[in-house]
Amino acid sequence: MRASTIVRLPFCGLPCSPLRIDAAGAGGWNVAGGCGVARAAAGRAPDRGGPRVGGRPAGLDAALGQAASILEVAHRPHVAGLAWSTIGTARRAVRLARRLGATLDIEGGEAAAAESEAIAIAGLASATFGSVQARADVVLLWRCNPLPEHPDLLPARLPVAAGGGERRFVRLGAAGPAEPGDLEALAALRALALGRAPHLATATAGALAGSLPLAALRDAAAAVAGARHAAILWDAQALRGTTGAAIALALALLARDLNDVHRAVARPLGGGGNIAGALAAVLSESGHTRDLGPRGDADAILLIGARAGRGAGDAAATAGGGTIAAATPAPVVVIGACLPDGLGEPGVFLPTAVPGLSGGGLWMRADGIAIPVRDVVPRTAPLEEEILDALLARLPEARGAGRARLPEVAR
Amino acid sequence: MTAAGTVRIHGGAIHDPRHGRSGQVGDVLIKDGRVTASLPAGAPAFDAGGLVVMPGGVDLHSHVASPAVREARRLCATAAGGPLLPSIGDTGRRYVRMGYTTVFDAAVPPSGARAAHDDLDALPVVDKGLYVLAGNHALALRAIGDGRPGELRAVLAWLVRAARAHAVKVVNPGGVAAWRDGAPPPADAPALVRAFAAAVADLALPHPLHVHLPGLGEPGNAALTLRCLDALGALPAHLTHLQFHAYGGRTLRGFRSRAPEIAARLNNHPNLTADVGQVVFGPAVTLSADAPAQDRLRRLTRRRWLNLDVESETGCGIVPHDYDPRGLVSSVQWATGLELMLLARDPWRIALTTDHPNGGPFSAYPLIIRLLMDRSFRDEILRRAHPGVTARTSLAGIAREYTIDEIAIVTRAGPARILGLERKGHLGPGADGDVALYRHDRDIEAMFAAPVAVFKDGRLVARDGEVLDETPGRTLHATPRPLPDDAGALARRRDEHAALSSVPFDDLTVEEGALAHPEEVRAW
Repeated sequence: MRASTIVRLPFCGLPCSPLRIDAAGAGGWNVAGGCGVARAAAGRAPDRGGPRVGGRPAGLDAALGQAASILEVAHRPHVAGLAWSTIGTARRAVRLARRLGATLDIEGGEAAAAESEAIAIAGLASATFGSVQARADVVLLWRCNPLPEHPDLLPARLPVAAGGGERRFVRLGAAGPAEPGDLEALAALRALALGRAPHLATATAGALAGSLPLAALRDAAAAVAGARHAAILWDAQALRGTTGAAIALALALLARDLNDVHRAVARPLGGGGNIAGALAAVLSESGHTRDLGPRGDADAILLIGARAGRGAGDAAATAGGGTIAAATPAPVVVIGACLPDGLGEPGVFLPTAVPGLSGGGLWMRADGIAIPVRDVVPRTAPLEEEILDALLARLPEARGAGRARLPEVAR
Repeated sequence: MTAAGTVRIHGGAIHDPRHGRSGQVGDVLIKDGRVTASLPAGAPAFDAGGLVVMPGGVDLHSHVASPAVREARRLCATAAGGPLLPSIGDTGRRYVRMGYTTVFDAAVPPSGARAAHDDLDALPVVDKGLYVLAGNHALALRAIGDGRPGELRAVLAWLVRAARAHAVKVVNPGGVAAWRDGAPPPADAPALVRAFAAAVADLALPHPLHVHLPGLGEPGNAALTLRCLDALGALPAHLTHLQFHAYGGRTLRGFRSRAPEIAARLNNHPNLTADVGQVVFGPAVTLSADAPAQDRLRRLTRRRWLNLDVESETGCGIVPHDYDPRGLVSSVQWATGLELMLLARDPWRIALTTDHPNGGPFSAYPLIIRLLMDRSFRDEILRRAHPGVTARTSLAGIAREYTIDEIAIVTRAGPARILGLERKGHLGPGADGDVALYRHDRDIEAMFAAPVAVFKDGRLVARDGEVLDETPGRTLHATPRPLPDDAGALARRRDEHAALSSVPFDDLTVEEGALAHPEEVRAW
């Protein structure tokens, strides 16, 4: 490992600032720069041991064999994780789930679900981050503020090609999850921006529209309505559940309707990890995401690169962003650089390289642009992809996937 | 290298237009994946007696792997996974079940190339490639605006290499960038088309400029199409989904076909090739880098709309759609495509496509083949269409029926030649061992929908509709002719790119090693 390496890692889902990785003792490393999400992800120490079965060291072959046995005999297997894995891992996970007849979930996938729900209902006028950088003269930040952590994301001045003027930022709401009354506030904002609410335009000072002061909404509405090119950004992680989907829908409708006046785009910021990449892999491999979600009655769980695994396999277990409420403890197989937080010793642990650090592959930013990640620290364990390939090889072939033998004069 | 097989396909009626074979009974010999002149006596054999033998089909314009397809699956959740938006695995299987063995994704932004190649690597069986979108790239437009054709060539060469593309595609050049920036459309779109065509010709790529003309879907756009063709002069160009650019009338109420004039122009200009973009009655998903055209469509139809402005590269718009036979516009579009196909005198210069999934699914090709080969069937469908279509198109008066050889041309031999793929679309020695075997059937649609057998690189990959072997094919990508000062141009690109894009320069470049099964195609 080089003493010091500067890399740009898309761990936060945004075009993040460079991260510095310095070699430390005993094959470890320290990280600096980037954003908090990137630093936390890159600084997470991998498990240094080898494969384990039932908490005891085991050879790779034996651990793979035990993992295959657990998954093969399960009636209701569930595969989850993938939010911190490469797209290649996610593709293999989808194929593995199909072969097992397993359900599949993406850890933290609710962050993308709100956007997906809004898109399926009303569509979305959106843009990549580079496009927002290049042309948005007004940026509405809905309950988020990525600028302190990502100062390069949206420079204060527009590029010369877009006039070089000052970019205006309008923040609405404190950063964080949705608050009661947000939907009313957004309805008022949309009505004001589109000139459909004269009564709100003249309301008294200090009045609230839902969760936010009417005066702030009036200012924001005037800014986005008067923009040449407006961008509306929100934090995907903060929009969860049905309220999250409704808020994403309200923001999408605002952007759509502003396009009747001038160009406007809307998009969520990255929720952290490679949720976009995992979703892209599912969409590609399955054609849709209809079967994606948590499973309450799993009788075997495969966690791949999962971060949260508190109590997986217990009576009330969390994995894949959803709650697994198994009647009896379900055996758990973990494939990843380290055990998920809060998870006890699983039935099988197959340690891997750290995707994006000691294992290369493809990652996807929240705006859908795939970015390569490369080995920047020494690899001491196999890739997740390699483990999944080995596991796939041990499980029965899917129908029609075998190589054909050419018949002699057949027909 | 992907796996290759050896086989004697024995006693079939061979339709290989490139070599003038029109149903003569014979053998196709494949050794180690390539067609050969001789085989040892003991080589494995496949009895093709009574079957029609053709090269594998080649789809030169489809949307199967681009970021737009991913977004379309999110927008059109109910269509996702079906024939319009199949999974990547089903895409390959559906193609090979029809006897198609090569497909190109026609619209990939430079920054989307990595994701598209990742998808293409997962596409089973068929060989594949992509075209890189360049017609609204800020650097390309700047080079044209500054009157620097050499710089334009350098930008395009860089984009082809960086995206590992087979061709350069332009979509409404300059028009998408203007819309994205909230500016009026370019004053002289035909001049932009010409500038791009000239630059691509200088790169000596296997395929000329792949042009999605301005005015997509608009009443009266044929006039602009003809102006663009005037501007092209003798420059080579491929006009994609020409059906969508061949309309008369000033409003939707006056919507009509001007296919005869467009076809006549195509007939008289051997420098031009086209694919039709045939409309199929029923649901469709329109997805296009022509974001302003998609914005018009969503306003018109009030359907859901997904738009994605991509860096300073291009745009993308997606709108679900229905081609309703009871509607005048849909009916005229349907007839216009067929007119173009039937009035084009040289089948080598017009390819069968639906611009999947824009005009309908690629799995409708057998239906379209029947419409081309069977006038009575065509007339029957025409009678079910909007009654206004007979007066607004010339379709009812066209008696031509395609022969099976002409079908072999517009579905494989012609597209392969248009793409500059020497080893595709024919069964002569050296050709790839991609072969489709069909059983004669009075029901032409059934015949072409279900080949008896399909060979890919000499391996039996499908039999009676069942896919037997999903070994992925190769990714075909072109290398432009080296330009003077390539190294200097690349250094300039690096600097210019940094000011324009959120994607690091080195991350944009898809290394050949990043592709699972790359194959370089050179035309110089």
